[in-house]
Amino acid sequence: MVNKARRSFIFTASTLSALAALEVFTPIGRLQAIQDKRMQLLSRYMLDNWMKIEDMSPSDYLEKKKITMLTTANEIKAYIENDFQKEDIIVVNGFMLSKTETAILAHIDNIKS
Amino acid sequence: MILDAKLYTSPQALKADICIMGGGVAGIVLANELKAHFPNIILIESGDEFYTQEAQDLYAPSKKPDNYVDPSYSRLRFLGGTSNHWLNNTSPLSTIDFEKRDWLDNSGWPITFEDLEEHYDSAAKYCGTESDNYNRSFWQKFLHQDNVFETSKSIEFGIAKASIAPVRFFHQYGSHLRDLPSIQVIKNANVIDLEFDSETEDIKEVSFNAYNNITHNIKASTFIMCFGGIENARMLLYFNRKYNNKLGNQYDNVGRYFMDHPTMKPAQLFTQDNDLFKDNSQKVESFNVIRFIQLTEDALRKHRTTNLRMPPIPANSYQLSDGISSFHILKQAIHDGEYPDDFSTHIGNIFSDIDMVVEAVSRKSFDTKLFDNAGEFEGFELNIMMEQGPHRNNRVKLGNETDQFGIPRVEIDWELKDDDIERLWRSLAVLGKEVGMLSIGRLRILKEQSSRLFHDQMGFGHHHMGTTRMSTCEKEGVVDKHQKVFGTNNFYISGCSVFTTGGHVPPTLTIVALSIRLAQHIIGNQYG
Repeated sequence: MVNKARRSFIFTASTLSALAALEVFTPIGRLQAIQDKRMQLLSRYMLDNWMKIEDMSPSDYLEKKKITMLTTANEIKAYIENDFQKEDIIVVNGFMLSKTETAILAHIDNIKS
Repeated sequence: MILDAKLYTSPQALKADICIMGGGVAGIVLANELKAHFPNIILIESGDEFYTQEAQDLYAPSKKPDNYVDPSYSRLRFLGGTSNHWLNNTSPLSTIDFEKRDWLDNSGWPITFEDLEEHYDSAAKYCGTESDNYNRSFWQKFLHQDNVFETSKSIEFGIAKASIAPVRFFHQYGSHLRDLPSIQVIKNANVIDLEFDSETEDIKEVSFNAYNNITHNIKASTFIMCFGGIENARMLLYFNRKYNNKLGNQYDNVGRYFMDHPTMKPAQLFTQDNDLFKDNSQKVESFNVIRFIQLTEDALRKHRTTNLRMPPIPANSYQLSDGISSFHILKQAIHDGEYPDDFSTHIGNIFSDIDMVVEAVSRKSFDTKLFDNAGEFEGFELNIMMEQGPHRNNRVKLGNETDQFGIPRVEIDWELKDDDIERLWRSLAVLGKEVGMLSIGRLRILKEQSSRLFHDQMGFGHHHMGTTRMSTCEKEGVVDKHQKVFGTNNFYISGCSVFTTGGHVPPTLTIVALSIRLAQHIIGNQYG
């Protein structure tokens, strides 16, 4: 059962940061309009794929990169662009994604659980 | 003048300075370029001035791969050749296409881009796209979209130009030939034999037949074969049977290294700005300028890969549906009695995209659209044309069946090799990285759909290249840097059968440029 308080926290902080960075996605790019349930499903999907490939959890990865709830959208965007430059990339369902953005999305579900 | 071989009632013994065999793009350009320098040119063409089934049937192969298109459907065998149905899409090859690349076996032309560059302007005029180059910096001002790759070292826009309407070469240039007494165009004339003097290494004469068992001969000082990529090899193999492979085939290269331009949609591009790539072409005077995404030469060298021509095509939810693709993959797998790779992924795709799957079933079975959102723009498909490597075992050879003249029909062995596919994924990964880095969007690479991409969903440019390739020596090719057949003094080949590698762009502009260059070489020989 999704925790409403956590969902609220996610959307007001972490998720919005990720959303700013993820505006480029479609259908992910339509996250602004979707319901919580789809966001949760997406996050779960990202987490499952993350854990198949990476040894550390998304939250540990974000902590290592010093990305917190206070990190701004522009800073996340810079992290993401840097990921692509350094080929710090993860492939999820064929999508070539930055590890930072994937970790952020996966982290949402991580927080929930 | 244009003559019909069918009207000859007795064998003709003709003489010419130059005999051009084949009245397609290459043959017509050569006749046009040589007409002012030689008083007697004969051009012979198997077909008529219009389509005939009897000529077209001569292209039919005796054997080909299931997923490869029958050349009797993709080629046209009458005056003007395949220009009678081409789309007139033209781009030059790139500098790197001519280089020896250590990551691409059998690459490396015996000429450079600079050897051909001076002829591309004239070639563009033949193709109806005038000159003014193919430089994107020049054309950017005519296109109403920003150059989003301006700062990229890996990705750039390439330029193609296409005449409005497409140039039909015989229609456009045939009148010049018709009116000149110095040029005889003989239609309905099928080359069936040639005589080669192995002492002097000269072709002495060719024989032709007009579908009526009357054989005629042409003696000439110079012979040029322009039958097209498959037919050049077929006829040369046939002639070599009689002359113990002395015509450029001492090392069994004729027919080998056969390349095409496979086309497919292996990736989808989702952009932050949905208008970014929606308009990639612009009418300028009498032609369209079209831009497409490609890798830079630096990226090709750095990543040791080959190029892709990637025009982004706007696509809707229905076209981009994972569910529909997975549905087809699973359906085929069930039909074949196989367990597909990524089974759970395909099942997931179907259920998460169930509305589009239902839409597909409804459209196909009941011709009814159900969901309005199926037609909404969602992203871009990359409808790519890829460079295929020259693989020795992709080849055309002589089959067991013969045509009405007793000449063996062709057998085609062709497949997309593993290294071609590896380079495709590698090149797409370069693009994926770049669009992410530039915050343009995200690329989705459809490896999970490989079973369809490289089979029922694969198309072709129908560009039959490499079968009488240029090289520095006979050990590695069939013709030298002047397109002269090894082992002969007066026998030349033109067309994309002489390409050493195929590049990632349609070949016609380069065919014309090579033909112009060859004409100048022959003219130069005449004047010493």
